[in-house]
Amino acid sequence: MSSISLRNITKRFGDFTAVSDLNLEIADGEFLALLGPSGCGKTTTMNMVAGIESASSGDLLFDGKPPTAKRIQDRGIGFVFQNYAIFTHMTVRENLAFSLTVKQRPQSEIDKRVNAMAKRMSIDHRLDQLSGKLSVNEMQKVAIARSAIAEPKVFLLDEPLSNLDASFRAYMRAELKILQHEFKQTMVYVTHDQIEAMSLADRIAIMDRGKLMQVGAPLDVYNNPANVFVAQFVGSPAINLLEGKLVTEGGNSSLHLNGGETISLPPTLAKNFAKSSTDRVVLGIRAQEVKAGSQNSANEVLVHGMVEVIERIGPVRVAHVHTPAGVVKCMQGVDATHVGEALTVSLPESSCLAFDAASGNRLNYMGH
Amino acid sequence: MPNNNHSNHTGAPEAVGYWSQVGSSPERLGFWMTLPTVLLLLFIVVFPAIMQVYLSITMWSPLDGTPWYLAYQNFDFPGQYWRALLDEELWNALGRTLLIMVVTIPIQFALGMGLATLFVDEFPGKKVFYSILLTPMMIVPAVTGLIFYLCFQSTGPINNHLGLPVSFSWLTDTDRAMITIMVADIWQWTPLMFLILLAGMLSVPNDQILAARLLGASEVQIFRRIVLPRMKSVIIIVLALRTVESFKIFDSISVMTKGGPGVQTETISYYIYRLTFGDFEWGYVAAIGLSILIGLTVLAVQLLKLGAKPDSNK
Amino acid sequence: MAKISLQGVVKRYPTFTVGPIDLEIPDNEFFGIFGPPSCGKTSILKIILGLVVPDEGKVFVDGTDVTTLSPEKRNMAMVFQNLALFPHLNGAQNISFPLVERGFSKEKIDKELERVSSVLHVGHILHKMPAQMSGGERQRIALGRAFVRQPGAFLLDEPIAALDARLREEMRVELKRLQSEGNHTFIYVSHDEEEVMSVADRLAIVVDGKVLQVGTPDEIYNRPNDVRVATQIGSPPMNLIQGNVNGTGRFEAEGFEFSLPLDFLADKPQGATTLGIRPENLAIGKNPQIGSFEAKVVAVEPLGGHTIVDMHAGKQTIKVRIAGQHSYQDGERLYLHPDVQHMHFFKPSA
Repeated sequence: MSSISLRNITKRFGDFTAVSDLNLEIADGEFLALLGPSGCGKTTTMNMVAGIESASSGDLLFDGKPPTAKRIQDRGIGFVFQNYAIFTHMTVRENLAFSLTVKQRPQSEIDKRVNAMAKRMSIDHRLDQLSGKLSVNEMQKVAIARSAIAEPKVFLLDEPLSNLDASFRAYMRAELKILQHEFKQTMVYVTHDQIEAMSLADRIAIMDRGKLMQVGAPLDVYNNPANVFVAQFVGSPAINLLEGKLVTEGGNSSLHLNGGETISLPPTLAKNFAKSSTDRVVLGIRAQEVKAGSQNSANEVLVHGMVEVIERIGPVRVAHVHTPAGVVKCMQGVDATHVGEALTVSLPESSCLAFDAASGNRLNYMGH
Repeated sequence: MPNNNHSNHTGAPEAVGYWSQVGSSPERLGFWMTLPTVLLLLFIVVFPAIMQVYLSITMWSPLDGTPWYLAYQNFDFPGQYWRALLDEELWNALGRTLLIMVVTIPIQFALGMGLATLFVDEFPGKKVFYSILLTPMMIVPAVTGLIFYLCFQSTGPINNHLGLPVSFSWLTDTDRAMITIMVADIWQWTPLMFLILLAGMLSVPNDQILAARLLGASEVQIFRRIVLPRMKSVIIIVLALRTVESFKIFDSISVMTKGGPGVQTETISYYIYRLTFGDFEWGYVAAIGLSILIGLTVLAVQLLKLGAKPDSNK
Repeated sequence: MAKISLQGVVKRYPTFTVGPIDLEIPDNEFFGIFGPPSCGKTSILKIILGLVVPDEGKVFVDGTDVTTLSPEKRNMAMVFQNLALFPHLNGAQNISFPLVERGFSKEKIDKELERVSSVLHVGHILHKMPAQMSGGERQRIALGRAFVRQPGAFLLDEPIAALDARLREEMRVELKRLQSEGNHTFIYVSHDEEEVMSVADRLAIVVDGKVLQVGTPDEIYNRPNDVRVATQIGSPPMNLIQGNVNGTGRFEAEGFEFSLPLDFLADKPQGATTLGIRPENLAIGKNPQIGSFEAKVVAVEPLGGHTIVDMHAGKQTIKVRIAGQHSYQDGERLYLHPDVQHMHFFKPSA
């Protein structure tokens, strides 16, 4: 079990900078998710940790020291590929045994450990089958088991659940979490699915275009986003964002939203917005906090619009309210709402997040 | 597809010809499109094969003076086949052919595999070397024979570079003549092995190799456990291919040694050639040819069944 | 647009059989077809389109029997999972392709291109080649190519499966908006139940080649007619508890039991039963009450807007969904109270 430090890591492919000045500390035994859209550099970062790629500049340290092993094979790193890369010409047993066979462990030990791991992952009934003939779900278990059996210090997983169907994904999320708790390995998990990251990780590192946007515990990143990118990448449904111009007249502040509507701003929110570098600001609020209809409270922001779409996500309904400033998703009080209805929505001040439109940074963010 | 059966404006259906309909019927179109090839095959393969079977059960030779279709007058079954079975020269020729195969094929394979491993990764000048390596295969075998004929002369470049005296002969030496044939064959066909084995090697999924490396396997272990097993069908195919082709070796022998000195380098195809154009024993030759065809076919089918099973690989 | 009907459709494959299928898809509906991978849903789509001719049964479009009619004559457009954009043509050329093939005049093509690109907001990428476009952009161009034909129905085979999770959430709302604003018939195949449930007006659940249930998302969610439908729909899926209803109003499961109101049990069969209850229909409390049972916290998934708690009761794993953010300790012992109003009884599994 090992801690990992990435210090000023940069990776360039010709003209293209895949990862730019990344600084990240991963604690021993931590489950860290590298979250971001396609092309953000998360897989490249993980490849550098594995030793598959070498950094253009910067330092990679394990337990505070540069990796001692020259070759990838000696680094003791477990790696699960996105498309599993299991040895389809070998049986499941041979796949699981591989890391032990190449180290020439005694056969009795190999058999014992393979049987135990197969049982753990519920693939013991498939042990002597050719692994190329398994279902996708079973192949994924083989891929994970094969790496786990070697008891690596560091376990890297590259979007391991992305090829699975939705219901099996949910099941495997739980399994992975239990696995990690049991073995207490340092796990780095690459994904573009924020639900996976939120549900599995101890901390989430969000990347965009090669840069680290924010690192923190799931609820930290959700409640306290450092910038617009993080705010709209984490959380389902995506956060509502309304952009506009801050106008202050006398002691009253209001927000001239794009598209025309002007909303008056309660004092604390106005104070936060005032910190913006320019007068263009963005107001963010989670759909779960938006209420249908005015609550007649002093510190609410009201926006008017028309319901365009009603989306159903599991047991809850989301009303997409089309306003001149953009779509506002509302989840409270919409059980009886229907498409085409005119609706006023209330945004409680305490739930509103203030962002600087120019930089995307969150105003009043206390972070590290 | 245009509908040819619509009626014209007078209401009566138009008469449609066979040829205008051909385009709309896949079966008819197929028949006419394949007809030229079928005819070609008939004349080049089927008729000669029938002729061969016919002649093999007679004792005919063109020296008899009778035309070939009257060969039945010399009917003799299974005389020619029996003769083949007891023919010592035939078996010696077969033995020499086998010797060539047993020596050259493994060497070609090893060289080809070795070269393939070098060409999996990038290195400067790779494209240039690749073209150079493939050249021998492109040369007509008779020309290859000529090249080595010149090289292996007692006064030729090989003796020069090895510092060997003129008395050290290759092509006319009873023991060393065979070596020259083998060298020419290996030079000619290693590139083919290399090409096919390289293709097989490149088709091994790179991420499985990477996965194996991350699991701690050394490069040798990766080759043994991942690369080689996944190349199994390609290896079997290329070996079967070369085995059958190698059996037929002729051109280089014809140019370099003419089966000599004496019959020291006479392979089965050269023996047949001698019988056909030397002794004109065409009935006998037909019988030999047919026997070998059947024998080789059985061998090839067994080899292919052995290894080129449909892969379960993905 | 087009009303589509499948009657007694059967298609036999070497490993399994699809059908018999009976489906009525009315005009202007966003109709979803959902099922696990390899359940036959793509086959159904291909039969509707005409790529596959069924072994039995008939396909009707607006009352006309089209069972043996070739695809191009059915006036339907299909968007494939891998989009199948022409890599050597740019965005505008890809979209106009169907019209160019049909010999439309240049003005007509330009007008249609204009219309479609404004609806799909692709005006700014028409000049790009597919290789230069992002996943979402390619998605829109593929849709544009289908839209430009103004077909009677759009058949979409997992069109957004290849996109990032975030983009998928945006695109499905886009697709819904496109469908409802344009009054199109959309037939949408997906293996992602959340996706299908979020946008479909009605959907069909297909398992092992058979349609198990057809209904609105609400109907499917709240009144599943089969335990397989119940477990396929919902993330996390419905909790299934095997157990026994005894005469004294108690439900006995493996390692725990709890009481059920007698009037609730009045019309339910006694004996072995599979009890289904969705994660959001369980309340977590610190103290026991009538109808609750003890359970231990095994894992907590904080998803931001809501929290999923994995719990063990006896040998049973039960997932609970609670709104908002809550934290619990691993191993903490709490009480689960199921909402009787939302309980489902199914036949016990073998």
